[in-house]
Amino acid sequence: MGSKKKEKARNLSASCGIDELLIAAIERGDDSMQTGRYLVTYRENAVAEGTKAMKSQGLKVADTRDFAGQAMTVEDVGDADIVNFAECGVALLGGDAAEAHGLTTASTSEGDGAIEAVEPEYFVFADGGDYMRGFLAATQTINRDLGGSDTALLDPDQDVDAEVLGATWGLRACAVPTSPRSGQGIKVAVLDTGGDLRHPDFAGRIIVSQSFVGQPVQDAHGHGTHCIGTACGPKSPPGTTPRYGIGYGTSIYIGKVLTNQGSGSTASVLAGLNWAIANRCQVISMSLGSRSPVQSAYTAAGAAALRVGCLVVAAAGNENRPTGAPANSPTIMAVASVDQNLSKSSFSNHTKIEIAAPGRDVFSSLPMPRRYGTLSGTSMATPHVAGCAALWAQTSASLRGMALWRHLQARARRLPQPANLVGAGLVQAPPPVAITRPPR
Amino acid sequence: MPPHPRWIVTTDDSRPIGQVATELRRLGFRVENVMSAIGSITGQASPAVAASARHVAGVTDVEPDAPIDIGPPEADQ
Repeated sequence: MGSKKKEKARNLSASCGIDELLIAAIERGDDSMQTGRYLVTYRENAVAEGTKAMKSQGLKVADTRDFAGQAMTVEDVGDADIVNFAECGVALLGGDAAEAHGLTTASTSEGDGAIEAVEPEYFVFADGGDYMRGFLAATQTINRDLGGSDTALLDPDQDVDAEVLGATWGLRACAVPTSPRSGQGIKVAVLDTGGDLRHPDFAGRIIVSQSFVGQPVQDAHGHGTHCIGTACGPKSPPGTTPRYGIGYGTSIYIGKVLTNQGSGSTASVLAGLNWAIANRCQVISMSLGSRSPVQSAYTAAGAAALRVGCLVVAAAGNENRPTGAPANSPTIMAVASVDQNLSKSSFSNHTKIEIAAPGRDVFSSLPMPRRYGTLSGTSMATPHVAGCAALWAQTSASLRGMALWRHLQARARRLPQPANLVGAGLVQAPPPVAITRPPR
Repeated sequence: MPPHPRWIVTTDDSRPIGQVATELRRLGFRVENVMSAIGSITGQASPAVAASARHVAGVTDVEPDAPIDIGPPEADQ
């Protein structure tokens, strides 16, 4: 970290994809973990002034507010030199433009007008060892995109000990182990207490993370890491550990909206939702709640998500009472918990329920050194739905937003209990597809 | 003087959210976050200012910020 390498960044516009940035880093021989881009922090209330200063230097500025519904990804901004995330007071500056205009860290004086800081952007991976695995994934993707064969490259998903060592009861109940899908290409946001960014089970996964509570994303609570494990954990954890994760090919977006004490407020949750939707995460999982009646802000956020093809799932709550906010909003999918006998867990809230999932005695990841643990709650049921939603979303680009919501319900396993307790039933993963070969 | 409470302002699509934020600031609402992807604005204001914010064009609701958590103890055995 913090290497002072002076090699010129190549073709690093603000809109570069992660893969391009990784390749450029490989070419530079740069092990600093820096992407080559820079993050510009504007002084409070100085976004407009700062933007003007950037433009006056001849920089091409794109603004998230210029995009309908702000639903843009960084890759959408074309040849802009700098992308403003005005709502955060932060901008992303391409490496080439930064060097050309002398805007790298060292050259920016502290009292410089509207700009508070210019800092290098860093890659975020789960662990030191997975940097190379991330590279391999990136080079393989690019090689494939260029029409090359990927047989000469190592497959980072290839498990040397791929022997099936069983799966948790929850994954078996949802028919996950027999599903051929991994959630590859689907972005899953888990808005919670953050995640253990150094957990070995997430080595090799590209993780995007952001905190909205003024604490580092690193999860000192454990709840967020557990939820991420269920929704996005590995296909084959090491040793005799059973499979506990569903979307092992997903991109993981960790939004820390609850503190390490497990608490937050509507404002922090909305900030996380805004971020996940702006990043077009097709699935957004929220294992959190309150006793509040329906809040318009959550309903509006859920509607905004559905409009741009994102689905928000949320825990119904654990008080055996009517579902609280945000899951009680009609635009957010409420998840109930069932026990191993597939009946509603005693704690699970009821009344406004869309779907049910395993939530009692759920085994998943916990921050190191604990590594694994068993928790119960609708919090644990929710990421089962998020993971299965990611697998379904992978099967068809048309399964997004409301279509994905309806499909999850249509394909749920019917349960004997009424819909006000378990909704449409037990969430299911996509089944294996019979492949018929044309006759030779 | 104690800080003002925090509010969640929900807007509709009838006008750009930036215009709504500007008008809220004019009323004395201390805007903290303009979330255009979801049509929400958060910030601090006196209850009187929050009440007047309800009448700004494009505002559909103004709610007090509320605590949220991972659920009661059974969520974490």
